[in-house]
Parts: sequence; C-alpha cells; structure tokens
Amino acid sequence: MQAPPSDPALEIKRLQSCMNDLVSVLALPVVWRGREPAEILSTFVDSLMAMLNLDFFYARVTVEGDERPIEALRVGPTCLTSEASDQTAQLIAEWLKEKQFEQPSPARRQIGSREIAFLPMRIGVEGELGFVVIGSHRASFPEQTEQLIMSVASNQAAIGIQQAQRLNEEKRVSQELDERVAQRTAELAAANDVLRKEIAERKEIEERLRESEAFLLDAQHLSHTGSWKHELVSNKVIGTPEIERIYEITAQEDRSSPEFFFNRIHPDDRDRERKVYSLALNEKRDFESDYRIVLPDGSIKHIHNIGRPRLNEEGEVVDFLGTAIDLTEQHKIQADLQKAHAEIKRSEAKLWRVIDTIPIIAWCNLPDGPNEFLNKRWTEYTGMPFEESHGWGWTVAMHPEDLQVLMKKWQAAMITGQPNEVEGRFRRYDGVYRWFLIRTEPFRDESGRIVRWFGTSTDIDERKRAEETLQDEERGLRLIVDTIPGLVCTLKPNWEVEHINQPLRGYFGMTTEELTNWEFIGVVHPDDLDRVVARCRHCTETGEPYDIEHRCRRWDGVFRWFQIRAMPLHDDGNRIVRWYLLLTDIEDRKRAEEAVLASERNLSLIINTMPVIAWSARPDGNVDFFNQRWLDYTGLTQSEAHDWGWATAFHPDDLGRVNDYWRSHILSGEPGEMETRIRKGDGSYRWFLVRGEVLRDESGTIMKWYGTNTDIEDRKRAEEELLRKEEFLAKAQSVSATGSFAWCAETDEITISDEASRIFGFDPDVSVTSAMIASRVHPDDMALLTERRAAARNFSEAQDYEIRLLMPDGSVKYLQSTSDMVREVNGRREYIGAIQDVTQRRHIQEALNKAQTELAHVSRIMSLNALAASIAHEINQPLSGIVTNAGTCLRMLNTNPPSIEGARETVRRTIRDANRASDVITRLRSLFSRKEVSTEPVHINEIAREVLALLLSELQQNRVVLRSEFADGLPRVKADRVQIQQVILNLLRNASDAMSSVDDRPRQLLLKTELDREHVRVSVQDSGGGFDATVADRLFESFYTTKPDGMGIGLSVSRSIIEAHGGRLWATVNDGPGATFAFSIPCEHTRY
Amino acid sequence: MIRTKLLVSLVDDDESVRESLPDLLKELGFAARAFSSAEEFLASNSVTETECLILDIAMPGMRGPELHRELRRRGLTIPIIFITAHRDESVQSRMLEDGAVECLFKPFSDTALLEALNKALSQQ
Repeated sequence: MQAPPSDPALEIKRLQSCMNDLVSVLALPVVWRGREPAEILSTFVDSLMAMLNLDFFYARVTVEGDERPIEALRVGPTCLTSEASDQTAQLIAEWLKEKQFEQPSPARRQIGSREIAFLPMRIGVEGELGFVVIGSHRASFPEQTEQLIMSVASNQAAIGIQQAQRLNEEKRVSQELDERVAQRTAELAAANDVLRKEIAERKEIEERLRESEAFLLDAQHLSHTGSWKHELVSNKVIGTPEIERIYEITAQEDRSSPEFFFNRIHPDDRDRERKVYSLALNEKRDFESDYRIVLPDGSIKHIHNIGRPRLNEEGEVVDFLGTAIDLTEQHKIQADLQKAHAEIKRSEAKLWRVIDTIPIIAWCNLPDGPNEFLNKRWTEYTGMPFEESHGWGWTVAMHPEDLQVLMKKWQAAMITGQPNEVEGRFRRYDGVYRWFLIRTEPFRDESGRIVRWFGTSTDIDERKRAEETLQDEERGLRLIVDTIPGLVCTLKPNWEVEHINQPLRGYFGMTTEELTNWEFIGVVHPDDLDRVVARCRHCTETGEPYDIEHRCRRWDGVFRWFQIRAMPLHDDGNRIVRWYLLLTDIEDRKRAEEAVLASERNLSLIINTMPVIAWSARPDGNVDFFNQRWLDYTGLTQSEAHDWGWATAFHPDDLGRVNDYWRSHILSGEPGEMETRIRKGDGSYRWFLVRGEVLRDESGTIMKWYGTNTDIEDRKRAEEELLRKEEFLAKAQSVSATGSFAWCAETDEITISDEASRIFGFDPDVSVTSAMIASRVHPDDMALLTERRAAARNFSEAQDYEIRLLMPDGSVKYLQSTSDMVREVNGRREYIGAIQDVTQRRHIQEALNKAQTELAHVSRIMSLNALAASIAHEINQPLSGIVTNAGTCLRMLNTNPPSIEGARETVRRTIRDANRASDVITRLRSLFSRKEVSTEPVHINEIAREVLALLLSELQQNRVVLRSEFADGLPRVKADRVQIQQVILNLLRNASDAMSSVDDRPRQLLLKTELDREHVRVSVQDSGGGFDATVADRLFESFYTTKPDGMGIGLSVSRSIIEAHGGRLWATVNDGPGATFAFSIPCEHTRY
Repeated sequence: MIRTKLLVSLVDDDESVRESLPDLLKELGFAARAFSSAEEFLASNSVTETECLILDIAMPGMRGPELHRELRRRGLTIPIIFITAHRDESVQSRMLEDGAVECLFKPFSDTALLEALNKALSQQ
C-alpha cells in the first residue's frame, strides 16, 4: 500500500503531475483517429509506459471479427536479461491460462534480480476486449493515481479500439460492395463483347453474301447467262436481272407469267418449246433446248435454255429452276467462220486453176521427199497422169543420166533444208528429152519445221542449146588465140586469168595455172607492180579499156618492156563477160625512147645548170622557152614568162628601151645585146647583159632566136664604184689642191693627174715629161730635186720634201711632194706620189705666226694693268726701306754727338734697297719690251726665280703659300727667256686666281722644275678648284676661260709659245684638290 | 722728362722694314721690337706690354687686319698703325673705320710716323 504523502507541497506537485497525465491520456483518442487497432494498442502501451515510468507492460486485445488477438509487450531495462524474458514469457502464459483475468489481482513476482509488482486490468466496458498487465519494481506501486490513470487510459484505449473496429467494419462492407459491382460490370462487358463479335461476324457473312451475289450477277452478265424459277403453285416466273437484260424486258411489262416468255420465242420455235417444257413437266425430268426469241425491235436472239424440276416429299414438282444463255454472238461467229471457210475453198480452187495454167511445171513434195502434187502442166508435158506420177512415179520421166545427179542433190537439200537448183532432162510425151531447170524451196511452219517442198521445173532447153553452141565457139576461139603469133590471154570479168595462149606461156615459161597468181610470182617487174595492180582494179570496177606499159619477166629472167592492152567483151545485157589482153613487146622502142630522154635530160641539165639565163624565141619574138635559172631568178613560171610575159620582170625604167631594141632586131634579124635590170624573185633588181643570136635555115629564113642573160650586176657595180672613186679622187685632189703622179725611176717617164697639171700650170691635154716638170722648179731648189731623184733611184726610198716652183708669171708656189715606190716590174721601179700646193698654207702659216706674236704682245699688255699694282708694291718695299733709313740716318747725324756708325749702317742699307728697286725695274723693262723671238741657252731655274721675285708680293697679297722645288744641275734649254718667263708668270697667276675663293684650306702653290728624259719640265700645282677633266683640251683654246673677268688668251698663247719651242704644255687634275699645269721643252742639245 | 721708354712693336714680313724701322723708333725715343709674322707676335709677351703696334697689312699667313680682330677678341685695345706698300685709299679708309689709329702707305716719312705715334699714344 502507498504511504500517505508527507509533504503537502510534494503532494500538490504529484497531483498536478497526475492531472497532466490524465489530460494527456484523454487526448489520446484524437491521435488514434483513423488508425488500426494494433497501432492504437501500441501507441497506448508506449504512452503509458513512459507516463507511469513502468518496468513492464503487457496488453492483449481481441478484436471482433478477428480471431487472433492483438498483443503488445514492453519491458523496462530491469527485465531485459534473457532470464527475465523467460520469466516474463512464463508469467504471461500463466495469466493466459487463468481465466482471462476474470478477477485480476495485483501480484508480486521475482523477475531477474528484482521483484516486480504487477497490476492486471481489464479493457472494455465489461472487460470484453481483453486485458493489460503493468508492472514496476517501485515499492509504492501501484499508487492510486497510477491506477486511476491506468483505468482511464484503458477505457480510452477500449473506446479507441472499438471505434477503430467499427470503422474497419464499415470499410470492409463498402469494399465488398465495390467488388461485387466491379464483378457485375466485368460480366456485362464480356457479354457485350461477345455480342459485338457476333454482329461483326454476321455483317461479314452478309457482306460476303452480297459480294457473292454481285459476283454471280456479274458472272451472269458476262456470260450472258440468266437464272429463272417457275413456281408451279402460283404459276409465277422469277428471273435474275440478266434474264431481264437477255429478254430486254422493260419495267412496265408483267413478266411474272410463263406465257410472257413463250410469247417472246420466235413463232417458228414457240410450239416446239411449249412441247419440250410440258413434256419435262409431265415426266418430271430435266430439259435442254435451243430457240430464238424475237425482241420488241424485231431483232433475234439465240437462247440455250436448261431447266430442272424440284420435287417435294410427296414427289410432286414444286417448281422448275433453270438458266437461259444468250448464244446470239456465238451464232454470229459461227456464221462468219462458215463464210470464211467457203471463201478459202473458193480461193483454193482459184489457186489450183492458176497453178495448173502457169506455163511451168509446178509441184509439191512431202517433207521426206515423195511427191504430193504435180500440176496439170506435168501431165500435159509428160503425158503421165498424176496418179502415175505422184510419190516417186515421176522419176521414170527423167533422163537416166540426170536422175542420179538430181537424186543426190535432192537428198542433200533435204538434209540441209536449203533451197536448191539443178538442171536435168525430162522426157516429153513424144519421147523427146528437154532440159529443165528444177528449183526447190522449203516451206516451213511457225516453229521452223519444213512442212512441204515447193518446186518448179522450167524448160531451159533453148538456152542450154545456145550455151553449148557458145562453148563450141569458144573452144574454136581459144584455138585461134593459141595459134596466133601474138601474146594474148583472156580474163574473166573479175580479172582472174582464164586462158593464156601458147606464145605467152612460152614467153613466161609457165603454165596457165601458174600464171593465175601473176601478182605474186614476180612476172611483173616489182617497180611496176603497184601501178599495174591499181590499174587492173580500176578497169575491173569501171570497165574502162586497159592500156599500160610495164616490164614482164621472160622465162630466162630477163625483163622486157611490154605494152599491154585489154578490151572488155560485153554480152547483150552490156555486162562484161570477158577481157581480151594483148601484150606487145616494146623493149626496143622503149630503149630508143630512153636514149632520147636521157639525151634530152642531159641537155636540159646543161641548160638549166648553166650560170646564165638561157632562152629561145620564135621568129616573131615570142619567147617559147626559159631555162630553170630564169625561173629560179625571177620566180615566174614557164607559162607566165612565155611570149612577152618576161617583160614584167624587167625594170620599168628600162622596159621601153628594151622593147624598142628587141622589136627593131626582130625586124632586122640582126643579133644584138644590151644591158638592163631584171627583177629578182625577192623584188630586188640586178643588171644583166642580154644577148640574142639568130638561127636561120638554108634559105636564110629565121628559124629561132636563142639568147642568154648574163648577170653583170657585180661588174656594173664595180664599174660604178670605180667611176665614183675616180670622181671622188679628182674632186678630192681639186679640193685639196693635191695632184698625183707616177714616175718610173729608170726611164724617167712621168704621168700626172689633172690636178697636178693645174698645179704646174700645164694644159691638161698635153702629156707631161720629166723635163717639163724640171723647168718649173725654182732655180734655188733645182739641186734639191736632183738630189731627191738620185736618192730615189739609188735607195728606193720613200720621198717627202718641200720644193718651190717658179711660175711663168713670176709667182712662187710651195709644193709638198710625197712619194713611195709601189712596184718593181722588170727591174723598173715605179713611184707613185702626191704633190700638194701648200703655197696658201704657207702664207696662212706666216700670217698666223705674225698674229700670234701680236697676240702675245696684247696678252702682255693685258697683264700690264694687273701687274702695275704689284710692280708698285715691289718697288715701294725697297723705297720704304730707303726712306726710313734715310730718315734714321739724318736723325742719327743730328744727335749730339752724332752716331756715325749708325748713320753709316743706315746709308749702306739705303744703297742696298735702292739697288733692289733698280733690279725690279730692269726686269720689268725686259718683260714689257717688244722684241723678236731670240733663243739662247738659258737655265730654267734662273728664269723661274726671276718670275717668282716679280710675283711674290702679288702672291702674298692673295695669301698664297708658295713652295718651290728646283732640281739641281738641270741642263740648259734653248729658249726665249722672256717668252718662257711669260708662260711661267701666266701659269702662276692662273694658279693664284684659281685659289682666290679657297678659304677652308691653305692656298698652296708649288713651282717645280725637273728633268724629264731629254726635256726640262716645269710644273705649277695649285690647290684650287681644279677643272673639269672633260674640258682639259678646251682650256688651251683662245678665248676659253673659266675666270669671270678673264680674256681667255693666256693659256692659248702659252701653248703657242711652248710649241714654238718644240715643247708641250698640258694640264692635269690633281689627286687632291686643284690642278697642275706643266710644260716641257727640249734640252739644249736635243734635236727637234 | 725722364721716364721708362714706351714699347712699340712692329710686325712686317719685309726684312728691310724690320731692319730700318726699329732704328728710327729708337731714335724717336721708343723701345722697339720687330716680328716677321702675326703668329710670332701673338706668341710673345709684347702682346701685353706694347703701347702701340705698327702692323703690315699684307703678310703670308695671318694678315694685319686679322691680327687686329684677334687682339680685339682678346679684349686688348692696343692702338694700331697699319702700314702697306699697296697704295689703295679704299683700304686705308676701311682700316680707319675699323678703329686703326692711322694707315700709312710705304714709303712714309719719319714725321708721318711720329704724328701717328703721338696720335696713338695720346689716345691712351
């Protein structure tokens, strides 16, 4: 039992807890709604186990309608050992054994290690649902509150389970109902399906029935067959639509009675049909009949009617069933067929008439040979009736000799199935045999099998006889051919060898058979064979006569030339039947011809290869031949050139002249020649010499003109060239005042040109002698002439000298004579030379020299102005010294005591400077004085130094750095001192001027003297702008200058001066800046 | 009046002038030094010592007017008397314009020289 609560607060708390638990328990049904009983029980057990903190809980409930009870067992941790579990199971078994807890009472039992108090309790209003047992090890168990909660909970569980039970029941019932409805529905559906299938099947059957009906109707319609039924009781007739069509029953007509059908039957057939029908009716049997019906439009149809009775059990006829077939079309076909048959028979009869009446024997054999038919002609010819002749009977009418041949051929034809032809003799009724041509043709059916042989036998006796006659004639002919002495052969139309006569065979030494292959056995010369064969072919095809020459080999191998002619023989139909060939030996003629030809060829070769153009013309002047050379040259053809055609090749300028000349000679008959230009094929013209000669007969009549044209172009040209050269020479001599001469040293003979005559003042027509020449020579130069002539004779030297002439008018001519020995013939030496009148040149030279002297002077004067300033400078320098020294001297003397020594020194310097000034003036005088050139041996260094002294101040003023290199021991030169000084001065001043614009480098000037082999050279090198090398030569021309204010005379004059000294002046461009001007003049002892 | 002699320098390439003129200057009471080229003068200490410069115009190498310019460039204002053997009035006037005291044509008299010297020295 439970101890009373000691602490009211605790008690209150406990009670509150109990209340909470009760509320929770009362809420349980809400959780259970819609759950299954087992679930409800399980939830119930779990809730209370936790709520009451139990160690054990077992519940067992039996649900209505379910035989197996629902159980739930929960144990706390203390009861979880296996021992405890066994004990628990045992305990539960005990409880179940007891009468379902009729009176459950608490109990205590040892479970595992603990003692557990158990409290059983029933569930349900009357405990009908089952029971629960709860257990706890607590000593106070079960407390009142626990019991209360437990009982409330149990009630709640009972209510919940019962509600769940009820719900389940409702569900079950509803489900059952559903199932039943579903089953019914399925049954209905199945029944429905069956029904639907049945309907479908029926429909199909109906469809098939309909089809079959339609088919039947179609079939009836196509076969024109209708079905009918005659019901005897009602005496009514029913017909298919085809019946209506056959009988052409309209809709309005009452066709149900048999009488209607009988009335349609043709009146002629109607009664018979009635009888047939009534008989079948009476005898109850089938019937079949044909009759005609008459249709409303009067047309007739043929009907085939079949009927059959149907009997009932009593054996009485109930009705007749039948079919009516419309046979009208068949009837019509039948009628047509019969008509055709009749037609065939008629034509056959006609054919036979034809066959019998044709004028040849016609027949027909069976495929295996025996005769089936012979026409009437046969009987008429042989007198043998058909009965005797058919089969093999006809053979008796055949000539025994021919029968065998015919039979053989006939048998062969039957094997090959080919048409055949044979000739044979048949005996006529009167016993005479005549020739027949028997032709046989097989007749085949569609499968190609021979069904008959048809044949004809034509009487060819006449032709046969003619042929025989011809053959006889031919034999005769061949005999003739063989016996004629000519070489003859005959050929078939295709040029096969037919017959070769004896002489021809003898020639070839071969038989006819061998010669058949003439093309291949070498009887025709190989070189001719192609030509021969081609011609044969041509004649075979065209039938033209054959005429050809070729070589044929004789029996001994020798080839001889033959002319072969062949003529065709035509038959009446103009067909060629044979060729006759005649061979004629033409060897000798051929040889003769060849000889002529060879000689002609030779001649023509000569004419054509001659290096001249050859031609011939008829007496009237028409040219009839030109050789090949003419054709090659002009490019004209023989026919173009003929007659007067050649004229086109002549130069138009010459043509008139040529024509006139040629025509005049034709008239006079005189040979002639002329030169003219003829055009070459390429259009160029060449000169020709045309010559014509005449050929006359005995009576002197002109037969022919023969001519040649010779190419003289080169000669002509040479002539022209010579002429031109002569003219040129004469002109040149005249222009240059040069005459030429030829002089023989031995004979003193002389020939001079026109110009030479003019120079000497001779009449050109007078022949000049050596003495005449000598008479013209200036007396002072006579010795020179004599000396020169002697030298020429003695030393054969070339001569070149100047000589003067004294002319009759007293004038003097200067001649330059140049000559050389050109040939030495027979020990005679001939000189050819030229003499030139140099008088004028002499005069010019002298004038020039004078002018040059003048020019040099002018040049000096020109330099004067420029020099004046530097001369003043040059003199002012010493003057300045003089003045200063003099002044100093005075002052020294005026001092007290006077400086005598100083004064003396200054006076000495004064004198020196005065001398210096005097020297300057002396040099200037010599420079500017004008005097004739006077050469003397001079030292170049001396000359150069003097110039430098003169120019020094000017050079300094121009800031020129002067350097001089004078070579020692130079030989003297023969020169005019002043002129050479002038040249050096000029060069130095030019150099100085050339550097006037140079500011970026020193203005260096080098004056240099040196020995240059036999010459002394002076060079002036500056560092100025130099000059353009291309104008180097022009520098020395007069008035050529590069200076803005220069006259351009200096260098020109300088060069003249140097050249007058036998020297040379030139200019070169330096490697570095500037130019070098240099001259060289020969040393004193050098000859120049 | 006793005092240290004033130094007058002469630059001329002509030897006779170099020989004669210093003697005259000495006679006139000056100390004199002669140089044969402008370069020689520039290399000497006369450049700073000289009171007056007698200068030839035309000389090889550096010419008189160039020396004049060079001295001015160096900031030296030595009075210069040009002398020349080339009588050209245009040259004379150009020299005077350029600041020369005087430009004498050779030959010149001792009085002309003395006047020029006095003029030069009075400028100082």
